[in-house]
Amino acid sequence: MFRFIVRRLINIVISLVVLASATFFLMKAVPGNPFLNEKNSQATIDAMMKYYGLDKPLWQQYLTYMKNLFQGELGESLKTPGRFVTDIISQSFGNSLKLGLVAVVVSVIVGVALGMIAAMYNRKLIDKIAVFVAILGISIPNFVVGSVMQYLLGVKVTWFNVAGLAGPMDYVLPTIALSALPIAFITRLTRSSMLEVLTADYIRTAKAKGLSPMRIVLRHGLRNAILPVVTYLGPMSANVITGSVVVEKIYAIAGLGKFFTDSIANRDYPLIMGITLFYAVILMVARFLADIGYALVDPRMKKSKGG
Amino acid sequence: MDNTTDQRRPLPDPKKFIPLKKRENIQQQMAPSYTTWKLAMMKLTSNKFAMAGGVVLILLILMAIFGPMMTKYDFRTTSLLNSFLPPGADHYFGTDDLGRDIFARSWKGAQISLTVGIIAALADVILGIIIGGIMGFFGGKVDEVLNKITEILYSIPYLLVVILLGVVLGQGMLTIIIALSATGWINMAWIVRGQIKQLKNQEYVLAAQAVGSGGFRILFKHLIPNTMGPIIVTMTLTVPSAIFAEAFLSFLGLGVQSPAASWGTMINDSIVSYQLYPWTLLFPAGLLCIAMLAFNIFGDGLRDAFDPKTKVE
Repeated sequence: MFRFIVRRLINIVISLVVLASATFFLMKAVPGNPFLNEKNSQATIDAMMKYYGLDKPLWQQYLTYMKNLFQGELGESLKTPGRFVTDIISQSFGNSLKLGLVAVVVSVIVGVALGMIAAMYNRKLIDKIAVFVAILGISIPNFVVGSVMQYLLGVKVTWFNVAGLAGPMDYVLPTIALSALPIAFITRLTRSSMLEVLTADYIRTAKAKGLSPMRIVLRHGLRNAILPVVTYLGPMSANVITGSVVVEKIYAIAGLGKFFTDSIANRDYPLIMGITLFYAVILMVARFLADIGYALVDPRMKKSKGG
Repeated sequence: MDNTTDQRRPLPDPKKFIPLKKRENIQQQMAPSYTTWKLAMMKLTSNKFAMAGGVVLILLILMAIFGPMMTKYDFRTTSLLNSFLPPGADHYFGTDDLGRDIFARSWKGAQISLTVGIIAALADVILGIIIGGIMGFFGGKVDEVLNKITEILYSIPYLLVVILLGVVLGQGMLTIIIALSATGWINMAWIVRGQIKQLKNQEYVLAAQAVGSGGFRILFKHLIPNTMGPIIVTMTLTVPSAIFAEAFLSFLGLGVQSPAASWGTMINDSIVSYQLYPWTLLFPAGLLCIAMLAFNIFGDGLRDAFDPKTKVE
């Protein structure tokens, strides 16, 4: 277990260094420079280049950039000078995090419940409906879910606010848009693993003991069928984060995703780089935790890794 | 050891040996045997759901080719006097903010979305087969190093890479294809690698080695063709995710730019207007969902068809 954690941590660090270097050189490969616009004279541009250290040789810039990164500095926004990328992230991430966590919890609960019901009524109508709903959830992009719901429930029937994140009701639409895809995936995973588990001998034993079907599924089946869902938690956080980028755009929520889309539209390179790296860290940490969670839940992992 | 002394099983009476009647058509009494491909095709064609998905796909492809010819309007022509016309006999799907015909734009969008999806999936397959094949077949150090590299690449969230490349390379269809295949091949490579590792200890590989075939010949002539099932399934399921990624990028303003149309671009353009003119969103979004749904359903059917556990119904 310890070796496993160390190996994964080393991997994460290498991946981050690769990504950080890649972002750096990619951004440098963009033609022109960020201060190029008709208002700035050549002298101003030179002065700004000097101020930001962009006149130094590339390798020196790279080293400074990496050194700053290790100290947790991500630089300054170019479009709103004086605002630091780390400040923007710390101010806006709260909203995204709240929304993301709600979406994760809702996805797991709804997805597992749907998958369980589908497996219990295998090949019956309920199962077929659940399978079809799952494939719908996988096929309909979150920005379509988001904008169609905004139109139907926010504009046509004014049950919800079309934008913002002021009260608890404002969470409903963004959460549905964010969790549609994870719910679909979790439903499929739970259904197929539950179907497999339900044919196991100990389930037959439980039936023979006369336990109720509900009790069998909840106490004996779910415990084993939940394993694939745990492995999905890592990739799911990726879906929720990339989803939040578009959902925040649709519902005009002042979260990190909104700043990310804005920074892309403005070509605000330090902000793009900073948020990309921040997202990468979050995702890798989420995957890492999911892996550890899996190792803890799965008794086979404990044994083979020597506890 | 003398068998005749075994008291527990006395030899049967020789008179009871009656020659078996000669049976004609012994073949008929056995279950018919099919090749993997034939069996997969039978399972697929008996799956109505998957076949419906396939039919919708063919229709979409036909409309992508012929749709733009079915209206007198060009997808680029703007006419500000005719902006936001509702769907009708003239403009089948209505017009957008600049008075462009949404019917023509939708099918032009279908061309772009389907092309991006299919080319990106093909690029994934080619890269994945080559790299995954090498990893699986040669094993050892080569596999270890390549596996480490792919593991690191894979841990970097792919949409972030796509966004970064989109920012750097500028907008356009080619960018999206490059960005999508830069990361998309990893999954395919792992699938090919796993398959090849399983297959390379089979007798026919040994036989090929015995007659003196070289490594690459065995890999591409004997092993890869036998992994085609999972490869095709993965490819079919890669297409919708590539279509989604294209739409996602275009929705963020990083993809195909107006006046060219992709479904994502059209949805993005409609964001400012759909609350009043819902058809600007409805048609591109609906087509995008239908295309993804059809690919997913068809891909699921293919996966079931190649899965030895499912039976012909």
